[in-house]
Amino acid sequence: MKRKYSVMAVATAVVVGGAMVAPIAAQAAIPSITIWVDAPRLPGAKLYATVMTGKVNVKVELHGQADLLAKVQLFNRVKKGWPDVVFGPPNDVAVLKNPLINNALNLDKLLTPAEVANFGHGNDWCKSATGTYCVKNDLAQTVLWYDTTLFKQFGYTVPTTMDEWAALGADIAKNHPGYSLGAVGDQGFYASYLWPSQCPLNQEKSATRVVINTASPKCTRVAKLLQPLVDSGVLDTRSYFDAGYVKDVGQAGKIVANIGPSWWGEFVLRPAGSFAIPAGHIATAPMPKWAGESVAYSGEWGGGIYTVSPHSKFPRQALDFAIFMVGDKRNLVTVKNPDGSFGAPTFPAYTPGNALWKAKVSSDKYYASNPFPAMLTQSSKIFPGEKPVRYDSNGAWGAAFAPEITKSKNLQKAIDAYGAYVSNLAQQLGYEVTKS
Amino acid sequence: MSTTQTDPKRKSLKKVGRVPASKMRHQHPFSTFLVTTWLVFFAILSLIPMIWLVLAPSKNDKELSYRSPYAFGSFKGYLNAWKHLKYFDNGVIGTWLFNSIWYTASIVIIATITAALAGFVISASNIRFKRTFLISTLIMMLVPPVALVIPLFVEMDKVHLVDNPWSVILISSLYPFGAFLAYIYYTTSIPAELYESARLDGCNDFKLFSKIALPLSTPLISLLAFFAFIGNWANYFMPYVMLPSSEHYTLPLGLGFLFLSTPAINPGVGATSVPIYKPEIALAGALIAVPIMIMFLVSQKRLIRGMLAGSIKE
Repeated sequence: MKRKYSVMAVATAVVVGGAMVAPIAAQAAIPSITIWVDAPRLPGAKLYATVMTGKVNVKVELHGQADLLAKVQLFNRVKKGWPDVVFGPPNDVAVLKNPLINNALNLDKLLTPAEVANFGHGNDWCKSATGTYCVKNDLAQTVLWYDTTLFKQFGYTVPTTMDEWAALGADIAKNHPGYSLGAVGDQGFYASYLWPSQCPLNQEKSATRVVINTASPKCTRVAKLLQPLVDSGVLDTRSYFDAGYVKDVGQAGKIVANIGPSWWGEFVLRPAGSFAIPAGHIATAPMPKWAGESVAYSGEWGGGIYTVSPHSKFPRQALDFAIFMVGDKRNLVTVKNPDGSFGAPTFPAYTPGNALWKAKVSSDKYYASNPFPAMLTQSSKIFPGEKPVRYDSNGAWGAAFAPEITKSKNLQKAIDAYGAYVSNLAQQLGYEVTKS
Repeated sequence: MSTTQTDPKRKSLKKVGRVPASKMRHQHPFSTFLVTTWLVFFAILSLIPMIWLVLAPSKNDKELSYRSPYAFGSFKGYLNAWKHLKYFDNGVIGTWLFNSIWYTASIVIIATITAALAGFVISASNIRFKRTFLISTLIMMLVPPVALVIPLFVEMDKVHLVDNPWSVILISSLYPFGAFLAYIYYTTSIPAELYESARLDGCNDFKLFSKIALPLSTPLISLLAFFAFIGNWANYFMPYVMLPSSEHYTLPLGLGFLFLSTPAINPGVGATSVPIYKPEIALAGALIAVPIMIMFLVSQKRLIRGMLAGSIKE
């Protein structure tokens, strides 16, 4: 009798246990990934989760761009909890691929040849001597933004060289005082002038060496050419986002032209709370070329990246999410954003993606002419020498450059102050700082 | 008869050589003036940001930058700002608000009870090592929470509570300041003789606390609950460390992440499709600050009584 009950108990246990395990096994067959994105990427990521229902379990989390490193260090302590794929600011990749942090997977083996080709130069930022450690979400290549109404009124033509740009500034100072060619008191100065001029400020050559040389002719030519424009006030020493600059210059309709990233029109020139430049004024042109150069390079101000964790059990599925975000029409064109707009807000880094995005921006009646061609031209001309670095190269513009330019109004002094500041930061983080 | 009789209250004051406050004011009009001016000055100084905070969301982004800080925009401004906040991620702000309320309520209840008990035990019970406990409490008050992040995170991971609201609730319920406050209260406001006579009547420590100390602790409980509330309602750090999932965020944490993704407070972000501007941030600030103000206004009488407890020894 006892034996009979024992057999029944074992059989029941097997059946119940099997019933419990079966769904778990079935669940385990579906890959699961956790995605961390910031607020603007959230609608696209949630859409992806819906699209992948039944194929990949996708958990989407909102996070702040600046907190990833702190969180990863905590996860490293307990050896779990890492998100599979993360959207972050461009410099994150340098920190995350650092062996001490180890949270950026080398994607060389994961990216298909077609995907590599589709990124083209758009993914240069993510490449280093040891591999490709991220994929770019969007490009923030600088172009020349100008006010067609003011150009017509003053009889100007669009400058194609930096010498013509300086001459334009001189003419504005002489004949139209009070008008502006933009501001130089923030990171925009780097993206618009120093980076396109190939000034070596954050040129990481290896994990242990970075070139910072503010005495390079590629840096000094910027200061020499633009200092008269600063002296005459045509280039303002405040930040573009300084409330005084926004009111006195931006909203007063005094910006004749400026060099700015591809998102400039939509998010700085247009919004009512920003420069509020009316419809029908703004157009874009390719970057002016520096004297003696064969390519009119751009710099970048922004341009987010996706990194995949080396701890991910499903790295290909994690990478698929990034590819969806940069290449799928549902995210780039049709997804509804919290502000009521549709699609990706910025220039996709993926060639098929920017072809889709083109339709959205090209038909926008706000612009005096289609702004897309200049953006496309410059998308493959971002000077690749500047690289992601482990120190806060962007924060240093506010910490070192801005105070000096405000105080001395001297561009070379301010560039030197930035160089000294980042050299110090680089050395603290174990880089050897060299001049070439 | 009544004219010759002296007010017994006054008599007792004379006895101890004190002068009533009202008399002092009459005697020193200039000092009264100085004190009043000083208090009014600080009241204004404290009110200015609060008024600004309440008025700011009534204006739109442009008005907020260029109109007078104390100008009123319109009621529609509040609605628009709220609509934008609420619209984000299908109203996730409601979840964050609910989380903030229930985390804070749990912390306030647990922290108040444990702090009152701990303070009572250190001051009135007969347990050993009371002094050691008291010194430990003081040391805990001096340790900044940041210094404990890694050990606490590892500890919570070991008990599988990372990304679980109870990690925040349990850690934040550790309330050494409250325990010390309770210790001071039970040492100075309740005479030791009362405890002794209760013990003679057969009270054990728990009965002593529940039947004698607790009924006399209303001001203390209010004070403990108030400080626990203000310390945790706007707490950013502990939820930030312990709760990676957005569905567990508190209001300050979720809004912090949301705002960092917009150019409103971080111009470097530049491009965003999230309609979060300065008025939305001001409204969120008000959402976080107003409950603290209300809590203070509602409980100020009890708080002052609690703060003064033990200051006079008869």
